[in-house]
Amino acid sequence: MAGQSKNNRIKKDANNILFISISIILIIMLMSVVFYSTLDAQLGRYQNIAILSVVALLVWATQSRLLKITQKPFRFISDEPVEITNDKLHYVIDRLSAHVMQGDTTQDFVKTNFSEIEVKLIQSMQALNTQINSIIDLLKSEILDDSHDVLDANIMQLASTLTQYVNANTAIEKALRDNLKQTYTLLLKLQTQLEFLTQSSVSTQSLDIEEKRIHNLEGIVETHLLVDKAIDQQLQVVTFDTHQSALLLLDLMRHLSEDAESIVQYIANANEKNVSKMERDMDNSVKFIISIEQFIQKIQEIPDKLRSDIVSIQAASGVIDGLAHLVDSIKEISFQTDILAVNAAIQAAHAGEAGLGFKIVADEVRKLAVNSNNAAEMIEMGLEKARHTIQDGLKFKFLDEIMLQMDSASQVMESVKQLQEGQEDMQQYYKTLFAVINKNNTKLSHDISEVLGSIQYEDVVRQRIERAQQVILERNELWRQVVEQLSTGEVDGLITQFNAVLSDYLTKESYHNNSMESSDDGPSLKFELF
Amino acid sequence: MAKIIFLVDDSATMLMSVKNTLEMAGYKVETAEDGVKAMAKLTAGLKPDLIITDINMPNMGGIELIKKARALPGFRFLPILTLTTESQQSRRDEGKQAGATGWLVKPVGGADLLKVIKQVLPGA
Repeated sequence: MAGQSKNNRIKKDANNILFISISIILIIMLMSVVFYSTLDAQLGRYQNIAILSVVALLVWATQSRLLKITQKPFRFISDEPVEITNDKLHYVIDRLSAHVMQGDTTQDFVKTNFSEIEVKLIQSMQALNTQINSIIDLLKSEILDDSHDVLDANIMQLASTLTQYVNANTAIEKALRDNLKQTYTLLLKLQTQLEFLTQSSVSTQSLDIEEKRIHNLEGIVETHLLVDKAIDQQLQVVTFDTHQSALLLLDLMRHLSEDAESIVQYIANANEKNVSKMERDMDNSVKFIISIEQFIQKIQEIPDKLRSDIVSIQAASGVIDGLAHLVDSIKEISFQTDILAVNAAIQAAHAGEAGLGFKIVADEVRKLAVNSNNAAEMIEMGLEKARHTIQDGLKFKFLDEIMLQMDSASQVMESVKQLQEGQEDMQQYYKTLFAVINKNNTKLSHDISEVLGSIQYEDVVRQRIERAQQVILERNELWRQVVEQLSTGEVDGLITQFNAVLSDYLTKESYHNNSMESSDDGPSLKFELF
Repeated sequence: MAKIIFLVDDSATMLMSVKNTLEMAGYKVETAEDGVKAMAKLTAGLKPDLIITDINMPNMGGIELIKKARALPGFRFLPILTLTTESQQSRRDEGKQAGATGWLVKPVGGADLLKVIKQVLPGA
């Protein structure tokens, strides 16, 4: 660009020399005509030539903008007419100075933005942290349904903050770049003008001191451009880091979200599939428990029942025994009655005919005795039968009871078995559930930890921008000194200071890890134990 | 008994992120924002099992903090790790001379950080 403008200038200079030369020739021709016309009486011979020359001169002067050229002999790239003085230089430096002031505004913008990002990041991380703790608590208490929404909301919030962070970083980077671009344009103008001034100083034989000052300024501008280039390179690293960290964070966020999703999904599925079965199992368990209770009640009832049964048996036996005594008494009475009847028959025989009627009575009494005995025998048999019947009846009753109880016992055994199976199922279910939750929870913790790790990029980027801010501040301060010292004194010491600022910045940057360059050296550089 | 890790960094985000990672791994974490505040806590009786410090901090940097902490009674063999954006060999050497146990370059992922801590804190 500078070379092209130089060529243009050479062309313009050649044009200037050409038309000035032609103008001089034409003027000489005109003067010659006028001179000869005064010497020669025959004016008329040269009159036509003189008129033609004047017309030619006027046409030439108009066409070649001779008038303009005499007033404005040089043109600058800025397309603004300037004098070959330091005024233009001061004008440019004033603009540069104004730009430097604008740079301060950029610094404030950067600072404010970073503070805001930092605050937002911290807030999001606190929110995430709280959420993580609450999820862990909820996992412990097995209630997850609501927490997923909250987790989602928090992840969304963090993602949105990260987007803001990335946007803000991009804005900062753009602001700094714009700033650098403006400075660069202004400096290019300044450089061009300095070149002109150097040339004009040579052509107008200016003082050596002036030339030296201009060379010094050129040196400062060169260094300034180097500083800007170095900052620009670091800003590229910042952009790279920001994008990398944002991508990494978003990826990790996705993992987090997936982890949370899988836990909740698993639990939701587990609920759908197993809850109804578990409910049935629980209902059955309740039934089993009730039947066990009933069985236990029956077992508790048995001694009372036995006791009452035994009492009844004893009472029945007592009654039968009592009846047996009565039968014996009847037998005794019928025996004595029989003997009495026999004796009566003997006595009747002794009485002869008079005792005939009495004998009949005695026979009848004997029959009665026999019948009584028979009846007693029958009663005895009946009683014996009754005793057997009672005993048999009791026996059957016990058997039924035992059968019933055996049946209940087997039912209870079945219930207990089912209850046990149900409990084993439930144990297995919870075991699997917690294994899955635990696995996902570990993964969740790991992912969260990685997210937190990658937030460290913010610190790395912040430090890099702070160093860029610092070097811009130092450079701006030097420019202020350039502006101050330009009209009053020497500026050559400032070149050294400019170089010192640049070298200091580059040294500081070299201390730090450059994520765009260190990929080859990789992890070995990241961690070292002494 | 949870091991105590003392974290020193001027960046609030760093403190927050590393603290969370360590606490989730079961460590107890104490923090300070610069070397001066860190020394104040150490002289006041804080006995950490490990110190993790940044290098560039206001008031007192990491190198000076390591030197001063090493001079305290009972801190001669305490593991001290640096966690910094600086990665140049000369700076590492400076850290080593000051008495650092290891040098970590930011950013460090949670898993990597815990791996290194397990190496310098056996049985933790």
